[in-house]
Amino acid sequence: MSDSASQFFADEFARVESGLPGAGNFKLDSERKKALKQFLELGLPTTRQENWKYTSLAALEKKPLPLLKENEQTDPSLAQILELAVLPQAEHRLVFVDGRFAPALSMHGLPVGVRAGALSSSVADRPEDALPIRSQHSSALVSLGLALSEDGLDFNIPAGLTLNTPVLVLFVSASAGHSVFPASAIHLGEGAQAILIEQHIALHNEATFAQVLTRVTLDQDADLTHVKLQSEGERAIHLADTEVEVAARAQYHSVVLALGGSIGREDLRIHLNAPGAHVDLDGAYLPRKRMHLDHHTTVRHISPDCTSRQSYRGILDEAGRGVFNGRVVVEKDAQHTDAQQSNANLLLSDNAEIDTKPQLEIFADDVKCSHGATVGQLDPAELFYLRSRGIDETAARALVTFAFAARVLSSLESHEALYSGLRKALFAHLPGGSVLEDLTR
Amino acid sequence: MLHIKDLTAEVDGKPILKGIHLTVNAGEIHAVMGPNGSGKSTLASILAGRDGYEITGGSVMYQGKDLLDMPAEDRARDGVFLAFQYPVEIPGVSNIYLLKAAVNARRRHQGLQELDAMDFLSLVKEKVRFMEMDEKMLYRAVNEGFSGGEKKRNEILQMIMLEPTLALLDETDSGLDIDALKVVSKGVNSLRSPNRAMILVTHYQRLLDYITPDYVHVLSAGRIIKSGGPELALELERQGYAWLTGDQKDVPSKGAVQ
Repeated sequence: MSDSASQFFADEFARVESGLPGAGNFKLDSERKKALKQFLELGLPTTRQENWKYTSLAALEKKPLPLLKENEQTDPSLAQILELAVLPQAEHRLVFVDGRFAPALSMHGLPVGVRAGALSSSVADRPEDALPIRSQHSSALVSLGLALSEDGLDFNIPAGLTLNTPVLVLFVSASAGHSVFPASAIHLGEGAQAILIEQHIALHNEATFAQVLTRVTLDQDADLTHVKLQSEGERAIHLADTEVEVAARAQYHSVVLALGGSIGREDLRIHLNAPGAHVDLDGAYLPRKRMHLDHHTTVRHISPDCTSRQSYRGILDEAGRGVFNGRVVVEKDAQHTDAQQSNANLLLSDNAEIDTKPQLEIFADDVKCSHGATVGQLDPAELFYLRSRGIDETAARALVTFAFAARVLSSLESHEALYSGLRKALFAHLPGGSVLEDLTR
Repeated sequence: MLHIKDLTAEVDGKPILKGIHLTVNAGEIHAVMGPNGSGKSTLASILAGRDGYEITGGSVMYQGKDLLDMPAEDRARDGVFLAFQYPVEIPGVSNIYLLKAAVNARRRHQGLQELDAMDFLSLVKEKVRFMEMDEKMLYRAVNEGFSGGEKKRNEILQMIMLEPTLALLDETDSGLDIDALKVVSKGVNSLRSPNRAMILVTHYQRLLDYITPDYVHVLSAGRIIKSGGPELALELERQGYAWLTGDQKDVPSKGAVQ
């Protein structure tokens, strides 16, 4: 149904196909072709589809962007990149520039047995692990990403290993006017623990398109904290699709901060596959100007005795627009499920808008599920209380707004450097936030 | 220090204050008493700069400045402090953060250096001990989950940290047990000074057993209908407000606590 974008990406595929990692492997080539075919059949999602009702990709349909050509690659400096990084002092740093791994900007001293690097370089050894082969082509965008992905993060922690310091993964857009399709695979073996910080930044303010695929597998008793900070440029379209498989007693903790882009969309699907699996999803979206930030979560309780907690908060300023769709599915056998979800929104302007929709689908009978959504404004009583203590109105508003957003970070407070980096990112984004910087702790 | 002349004010078109005259000099403590709905909390709120009141007439001069012209934060920096009847909970903002921001805002305004982290911490810890509070509350969100008594102590803690020139205490005694009342009174009395004035807004005489006022005013239906010394409060305790307002409903039961 859609012609311009579909044809455009089909042409791009034909152009880059032979240079994609693992090209020549029959199985991989054919899966990529299948994925492209599925994308061409479906076309880009439109607002006529329920899942995309509030988020229009018309801009992408109208003006799709090409993949980067070899001779267009730029070489940003490390200093340029670290200036924007949420944890510049991270000991372990993996940098992708315009979708491709940049070894010269990366460093890690991770223990033997840990794999942390480019998926494109491990595909030759283990083509069967390549995402186009492993993954379901579940939607048009996922299919597009699987077909066109040039690189992504390969992160694998062997059983029993705990990483004590966070690993920073930076996806940097250095060249304007291009599409990138990073696809990453994250796996934690039995009992392994790690903190992964994924940050998307841009060194320019021009149009870009990113379709980000992430596949996470946690073996039993594994524990992953996955922080994602989306701070792309003002004209970026950033679409992300993350799928997480959680085994028995394993824990996945996600903290998503959406601060950038003109259109941002996060699809996060969690599968709680065995008893004791637990997931915590915290997120905040802060659209301003004419930004549009959309979060779709699906938590699927497949096994009995699993727990899920979701807390998403929106701060919507100027003509910013937010969408939250939180779906919890409790399957027939998932007795003793304990699922909680909340979505709170703060509207700072008359022109801001939020569409929030909790969705509970329960097919088991012995479960505890709750959800709630609120939309409100800054509380005048709180503002007066602060002003009566000598805090000026701008700072009072910023303080109350910051406090509202910072709640989604509270679980990270013990990681001081990371917490302070994320707090700074919030300050930089909030109206009047700069006045708070010297005041907080 | 404070000159209120013929102050009239409305809320939603309904007159609440109908001509208040009150002069408060440095070093004085004034108690403003009155039955519920007489306008005494409104008076405290208007002096602190809360929105939502329409000032329809009169004037309020504070240290030679037109107080009604100043935004709430400027009044606070100039030394006006309101201890709230219902202190507001602010989730996500820690007590110590608020105290530091408030103290430094006042110091900057006074042309003083901001306190450094160490000096501030030792000062605040000393005051916390004085108010017989747990240091842990400094790191909790402002008033969140505090009991009624803890909230009132916290108000007085802020007050003794800020050392205001004009302190307005709005029903500070309500909801306090006798031990908390003693601690709160100790805090208030520690601030008595020839350079400072206080206005205690209260329904009951009880607080005045611990903080002796220089003047007592009775507010009824938006006007001060009687002024006197501390003995007036005792008279009210014995007889209720009815002998002044002519309304039987205002006779308090013995020892009633609001």
